Amino acid sequence: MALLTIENLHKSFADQVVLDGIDLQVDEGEIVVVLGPSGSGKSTLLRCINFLEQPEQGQIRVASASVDAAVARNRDIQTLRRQTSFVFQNYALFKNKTALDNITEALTVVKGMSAKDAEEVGRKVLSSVGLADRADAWPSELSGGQQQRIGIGRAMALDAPLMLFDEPTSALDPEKVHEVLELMKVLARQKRTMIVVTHEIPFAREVADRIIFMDGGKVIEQGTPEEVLDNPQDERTRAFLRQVL
Amino acid sequence: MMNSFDFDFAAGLLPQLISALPATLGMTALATLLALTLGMLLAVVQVTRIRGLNQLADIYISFFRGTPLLVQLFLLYYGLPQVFPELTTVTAFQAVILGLGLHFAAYMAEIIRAAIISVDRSQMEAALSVGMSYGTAMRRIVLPQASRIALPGLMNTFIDLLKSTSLAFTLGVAEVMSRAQQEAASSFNFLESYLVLALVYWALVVVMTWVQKLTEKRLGEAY
Repeated sequence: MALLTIENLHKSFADQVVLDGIDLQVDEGEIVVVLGPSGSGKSTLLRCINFLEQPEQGQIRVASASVDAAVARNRDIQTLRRQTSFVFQNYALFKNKTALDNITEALTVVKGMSAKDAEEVGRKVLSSVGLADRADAWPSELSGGQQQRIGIGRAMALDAPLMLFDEPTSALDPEKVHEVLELMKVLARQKRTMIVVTHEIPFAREVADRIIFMDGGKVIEQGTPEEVLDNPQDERTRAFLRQVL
Repeated sequence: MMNSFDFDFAAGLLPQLISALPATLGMTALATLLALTLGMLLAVVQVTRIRGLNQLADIYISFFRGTPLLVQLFLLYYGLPQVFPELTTVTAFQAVILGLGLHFAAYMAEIIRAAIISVDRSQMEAALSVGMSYGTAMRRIVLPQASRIALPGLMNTFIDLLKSTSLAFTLGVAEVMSRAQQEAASSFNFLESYLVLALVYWALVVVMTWVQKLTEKRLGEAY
């Protein structure tokens, strides 16, 4: 059953077309990895799904929320956002909140949980990302890898139907990439529905149910990791893979 | 011929000036409250570019920064009641609070606006991504971070505002400046009077600077 449906999505910056009519369906429990050269529109696609970027045209449905970009109202956008959680390339932890408060903030403010219940969830999430002992640390006191694990924890705690990952390891030191990818594999095993924009090909091969290759604002080809990585059909996919593999 | 400094007079003047301090501090506190609230509103209007309001905020800031404070006070207290007779019931004390508040709101708006736009855009995006409305994100995430950046500038304006309450004496408010001026005029001890007055203002500003340091430390603990 489709959890996410995108129809004919268009987005431009000034006169540059970034998304040129994207259609996409993602099923519940499916893990989709989006690959493509920089500037192909993959991050923009992810940011349009929760309206961090406003698309000009297209229909987006996530679970029960549905937004038509051309007539999107703030209320609809907020409802849509609450069906998704987002992990940022630069972590984007709330700098004025401790690790624990980064996770509990939305639980109390957005979901209306009591402070006590939120703290319970927060501590559980902290220990599942392996940072139970850093609950009171400020983001500035954490390493990049730790910050990103908190960032993922913040997204996990929301328990939204769809998790979006925007190059979650691109800003990390090479030796920290591993700890974040391992955490994402745990989420994958829990059958959370995820869309991951990344350059980590081995990760894509291991966890993706489906790989989507984008270029020039279009989906060029898609399929299982074996199909796309081992037997790419389009010359652009082949050229990209030659460069990154 | 040079007169010797009259220490007894100076020592006797100090308690008199201190007894006039409540008026000075009262005007400062209330005007600051007004300036901060209005400044914050103006800044948010400008950052969010609310159509219509944004242009009004521009004109407001331009006018109140572009004309002298004393002129604004005279306009408010002596000028406006000629057109709106009901304003004659406004006391000089109230007029000064209003005048200082309106004037310094323009400066505070600019400081707060600059602080808001200096907070990384990803902070707002992260707050929206977890489902907050724009207003909640502003209030819970962006403004607290902006306040730390704005503090030194706001403190400068606050100090300026405190000292500007001395202009209230031109409207006839009985505050420290007017008391010193009366004593100077009746005793001809101008040097003593104004020197003691200067020291009183200085002492207040020193205390405020000390409070600023403590606040900066507290707001900075996350960084």
